[in-house]
Amino acid sequence: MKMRIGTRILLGFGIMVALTIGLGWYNIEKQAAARSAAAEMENHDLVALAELARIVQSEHKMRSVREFAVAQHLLRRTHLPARDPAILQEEWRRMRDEALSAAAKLENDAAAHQKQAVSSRRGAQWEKIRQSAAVSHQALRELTTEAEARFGLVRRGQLDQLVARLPILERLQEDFDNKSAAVIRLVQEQVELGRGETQLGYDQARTSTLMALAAAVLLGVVFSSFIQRSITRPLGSFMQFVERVGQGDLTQQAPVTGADELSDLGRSLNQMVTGLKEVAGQTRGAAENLSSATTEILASTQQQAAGAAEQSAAVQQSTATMTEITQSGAQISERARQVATAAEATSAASTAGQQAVQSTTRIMEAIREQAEAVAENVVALSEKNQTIGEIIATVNDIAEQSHLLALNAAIEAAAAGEHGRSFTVVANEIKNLADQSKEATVQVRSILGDIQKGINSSVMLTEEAVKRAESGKQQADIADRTIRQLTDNIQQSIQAFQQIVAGAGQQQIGFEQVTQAVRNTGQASEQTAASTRQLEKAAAQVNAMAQQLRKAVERYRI
Amino acid sequence: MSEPKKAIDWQGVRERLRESQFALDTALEHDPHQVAAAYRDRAARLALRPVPAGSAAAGTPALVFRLGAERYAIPLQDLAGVLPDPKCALVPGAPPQLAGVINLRGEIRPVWDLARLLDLPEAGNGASRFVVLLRQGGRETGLQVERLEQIRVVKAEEWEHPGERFPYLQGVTSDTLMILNTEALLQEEFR
Repeated sequence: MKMRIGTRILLGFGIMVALTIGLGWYNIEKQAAARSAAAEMENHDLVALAELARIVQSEHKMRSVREFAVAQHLLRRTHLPARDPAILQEEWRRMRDEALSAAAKLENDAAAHQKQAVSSRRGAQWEKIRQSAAVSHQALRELTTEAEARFGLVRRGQLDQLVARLPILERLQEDFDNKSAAVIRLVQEQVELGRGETQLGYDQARTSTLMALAAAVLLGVVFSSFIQRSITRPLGSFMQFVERVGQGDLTQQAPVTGADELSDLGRSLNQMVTGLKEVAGQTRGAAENLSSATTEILASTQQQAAGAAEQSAAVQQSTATMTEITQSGAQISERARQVATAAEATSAASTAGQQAVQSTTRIMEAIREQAEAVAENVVALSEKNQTIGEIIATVNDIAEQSHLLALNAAIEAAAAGEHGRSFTVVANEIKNLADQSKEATVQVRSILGDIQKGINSSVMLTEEAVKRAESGKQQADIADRTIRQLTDNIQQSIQAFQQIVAGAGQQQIGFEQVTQAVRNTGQASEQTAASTRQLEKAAAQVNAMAQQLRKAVERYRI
Repeated sequence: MSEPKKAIDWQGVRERLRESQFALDTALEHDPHQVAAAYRDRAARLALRPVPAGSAAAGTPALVFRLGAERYAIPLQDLAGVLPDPKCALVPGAPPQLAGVINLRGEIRPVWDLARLLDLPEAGNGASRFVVLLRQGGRETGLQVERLEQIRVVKAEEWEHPGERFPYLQGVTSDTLMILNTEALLQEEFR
């Protein structure tokens, strides 16, 4: 269809509105008519009722004025302050006139209403009312006549007459009341009738309205079905198309005909399908990537979980190791303290050792001096030995010469022959002496040699002793230096050990901190493990969702 | 010094020193007992009968001396004397066997190197310390020798004649003491 849907709908709505307006107007008209009739009736009824009420009320007022007048008259007779009955009577008369005129009016109104009656029933009723009103009027007239008469009686002071005529008054009053009541009843009936008429009128209006409504509905249905068909048929085809798209068939295109909003919708649907295809394709690709990525994430989270478990185990080991180290650190500290104590004792001992070494040095020095003195003595001995040797050499020389002399003497004696025999004896003696000298010299020399050897060995020994004393002194010096160094080292060691103790203490603190840190790391790694597990779960969920997504996207044929 | 050193017995040492001091002090003193013993001994010896020269000296007294490693002897009758430490004045142009000349009581006497004379191989090695003077009719001749030992009476039974092959030897004893023939020696030289 060429007309745009909006226009069509507007047209349909326009028709519907027109029909509705028409219907409404018709209904309003009908209603207005019915209402006006009802209002008229009601008005008439109300007027009649009001007049009736006024009449009755006037009559009551008259009654009271009358009795008041009587009372005033009685009061006047007792010379108490009272109103003038004449005035009262005037008032009463005025009321009477009003009432009578009202009754007359009522009659007239009833007659008039009868002419204007909506229906015959109403008219008949009005006639009845008129007749009843006339009767009531008459009754009122009689009553008022009697009442006036009473006034005269009162004026004249004929109270006994008053009393005697009271039943007449009462009868007349009762009559009037009855007739008034009858009129009222009639009017009430009229009201009922009016209501019925009104209802009837409304019913008629309703019926006619209903019929008009039916006609309008029919028209509206025809038009709107026409319009709807022009809309829903293409919409239906679009719906089918969309349903197919909803089932996943993104391969088709919507049929586009005409130039209205539906054709626009068709083109938009096609665009949408194209877009959906792209999106589905991208989603499929993204779902694949997501799936693979989540698989990787899952694998890595599992690795991470394993790593976190390993880390946790390592942290446990570290904690245990740290505890061991802490304990060993405590042991080290304890040992260092013990060593420091021992070092102090050693220091004291080394001081004593130094003193001992110094005394040893002094003793060595003394020994050396003694040895040198001994050496000097021995050397002096050696010199004496030398002197003795010289002497012995002299003696030896003497012995040699004596020997030579003896030899020469022996030779001379041999040369002298017989004469030299006694000389030979002397020469022998000399030779013996010389031999003894030589022997003695030899002995002395050997003894000197022994002495010299002894001296030599003594000197050597003394030299050795001096050397040993020297070396002993050097050793003592070395020992002294060593002990000093030892003392220094021990002092340094003491300081070092104190530092070690302090350092071990700090190390303890540090180790405790490290242990705490390791525990924190353990907790953190536990948390990491927990979060990794959560992550794993989440990754698994995401993976599942990715799988779902993939499955969901698989639906689409593109 | 692995053996345990004995503690020095200073007491014993001092004791010994005291004894030696005492001995030294008394050494030069004349112990009356020793003196008396010496006198007795001397008296005994003086009382001895002199041993007859002939019976006692049944041999030839000879002066034993040493040259190098060998011992030689010369009969006393051939000797004029002995001299210690000769300083021989060298004579230029003299044969090598002549060690030099010495001044003996104002007289010039030749001294021969016995080692060279005897053609000993170690000639000139040993220090000559003595000169043995040979009697040569008033003209003494010296022989350089190393050491003088003793005067020994060589008995006849010990004397062995070496023969003509050794002109310088008068004889040889059983303990290889060679008795020199100085005449032959000197004659050899004067030839």
